[in-house]
Amino acid sequence: MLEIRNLTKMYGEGEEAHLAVDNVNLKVKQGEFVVLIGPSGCGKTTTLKMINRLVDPTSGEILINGTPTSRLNVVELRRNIGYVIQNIGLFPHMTIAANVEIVPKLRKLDKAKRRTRTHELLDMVGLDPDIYASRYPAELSGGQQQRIGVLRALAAEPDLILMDEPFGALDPITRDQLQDEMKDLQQRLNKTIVFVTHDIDEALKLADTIVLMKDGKIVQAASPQEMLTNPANGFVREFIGEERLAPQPDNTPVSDVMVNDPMLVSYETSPREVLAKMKKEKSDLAVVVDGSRRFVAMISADEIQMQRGKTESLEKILVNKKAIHGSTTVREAAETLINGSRVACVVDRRRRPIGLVTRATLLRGIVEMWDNSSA
Amino acid sequence: MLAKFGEILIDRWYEVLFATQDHLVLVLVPIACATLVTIPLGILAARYRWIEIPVMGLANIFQTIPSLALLALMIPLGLGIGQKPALVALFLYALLPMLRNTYLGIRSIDDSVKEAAAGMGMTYFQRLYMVELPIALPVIIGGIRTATVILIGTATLAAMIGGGGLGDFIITGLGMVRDELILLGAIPAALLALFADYALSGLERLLTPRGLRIAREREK
Repeated sequence: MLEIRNLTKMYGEGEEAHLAVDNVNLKVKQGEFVVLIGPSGCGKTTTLKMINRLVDPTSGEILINGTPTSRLNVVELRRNIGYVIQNIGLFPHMTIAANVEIVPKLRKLDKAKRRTRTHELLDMVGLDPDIYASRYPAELSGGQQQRIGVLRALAAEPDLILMDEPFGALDPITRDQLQDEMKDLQQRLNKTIVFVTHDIDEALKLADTIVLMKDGKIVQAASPQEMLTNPANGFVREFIGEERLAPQPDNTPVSDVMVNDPMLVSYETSPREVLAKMKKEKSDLAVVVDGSRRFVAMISADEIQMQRGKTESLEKILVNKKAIHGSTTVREAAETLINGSRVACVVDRRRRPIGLVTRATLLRGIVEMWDNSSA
Repeated sequence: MLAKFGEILIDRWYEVLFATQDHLVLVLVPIACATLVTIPLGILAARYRWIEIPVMGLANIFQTIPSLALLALMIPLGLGIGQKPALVALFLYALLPMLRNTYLGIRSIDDSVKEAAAGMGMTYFQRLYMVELPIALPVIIGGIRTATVILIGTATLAAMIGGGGLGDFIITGLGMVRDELILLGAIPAALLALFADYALSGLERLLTPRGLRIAREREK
């Protein structure tokens, strides 16, 4: 429905030339919710404004339903595209109804039809037309004003709506509400939306496709799910933020899934005492440490009982000396446990025990990750 | 003095009336012409910086020249003495306040309003008469009001170059050291100024769109 081809915008000349938008290519389907996001100055707003020609491209073209926008009459083009901006820009001297009706009025729709449409729209966002139609923008709250801003963009039933950080100036609660309403509206009405924001959570929440930009270029264009599981590079990861990236066996450290606070015994303890302690603390695994609390080996109740009475020294019966570092990934830990021991001790940089993992522990952790990403 | 003033008022009230009439011509004609010139110029100056700089600069110059000097300058400029040069000088004097108000009235409109108007497909002229002018109108009227009050005062000096008006009485009174004559000119002029201010601020209020009035009240 919307196609952006080799779009470039350059400001300045010669040495001072600055590429605000650098050869951007994008295809948007009818009914798709596309979010342009990126750090300040990445070109997202400039790209948006080239769609309705508030900014003219230096080179490249934008096609709407196959027709290049450069060939269309600019005023007609804009009347067919909804436009919502951050500071809303409602006309303060006109009533709410007059504000909403403005594009139908410009298109010479008759008064009765305009009125009906306005009433319909006000109902749709839960603002009683009988009360609000004749009010003025100054009498409305920020959230209400922005709802009117959205209605104004919808009034002439455009197929495409451009939104430039529309909820940026609102408080978090209102922003949340409006995001929900917007997503709902878009799905019900099957509108194509191009939405600019710098808020990654907003993008993850609303988008069908996220287009991450930097220095005028597209870094990655993908669905939220795809971007979370397969970020294209370090910049994408950093921008999304590690805490949002979906935990996967490949990127989760084993310290996230291990059992904490393993039972520790000094290597000078006798096997009998270890067993007694195990009975007391109802644990059949213990980690043997040396004088500096460093890992020596693991021991299980079974192993002690098999040696029963045959030796007084713990050292002689220690077998399992497998330790893995806390930052090992879950995947790597799984490979270790499949090939060898059934349990491994997790240690820190100084080889001190911080937890343990069994095959069961790992399995539980992986299942949790699956649950989280399909949520 | 009050007695003398009362006497002379009763004696020469018809002269006062004619002088007031002349005075009104000296004010209204330049204001009307200035309105026709400054509103389009102000709109253009708000839009194009290359118009703003010379135009505002020029109007500034005319205002900084002392009014009496401006009036007197009409003589060597070839306009001679009498009503015509007075009208020209007063016109030049009215330009700055009116230009500045028109310019500011449009410039001070929220950028987001202008952007929204452009973004939704209004032509330049539609933006002007549907959005920008209605919002700027109260400020423009304010400019007319300021200019009118200034001109009522300045027009009293027109008498010095034979322009007539209420200034005649003031200047004659000064020359003959007759207080009652001075008052004969000064009091009507002052009353005229007060009335004009009052009437025009009423007009300003009347022409303020309701939505803007509400917005202003909310800000308080």
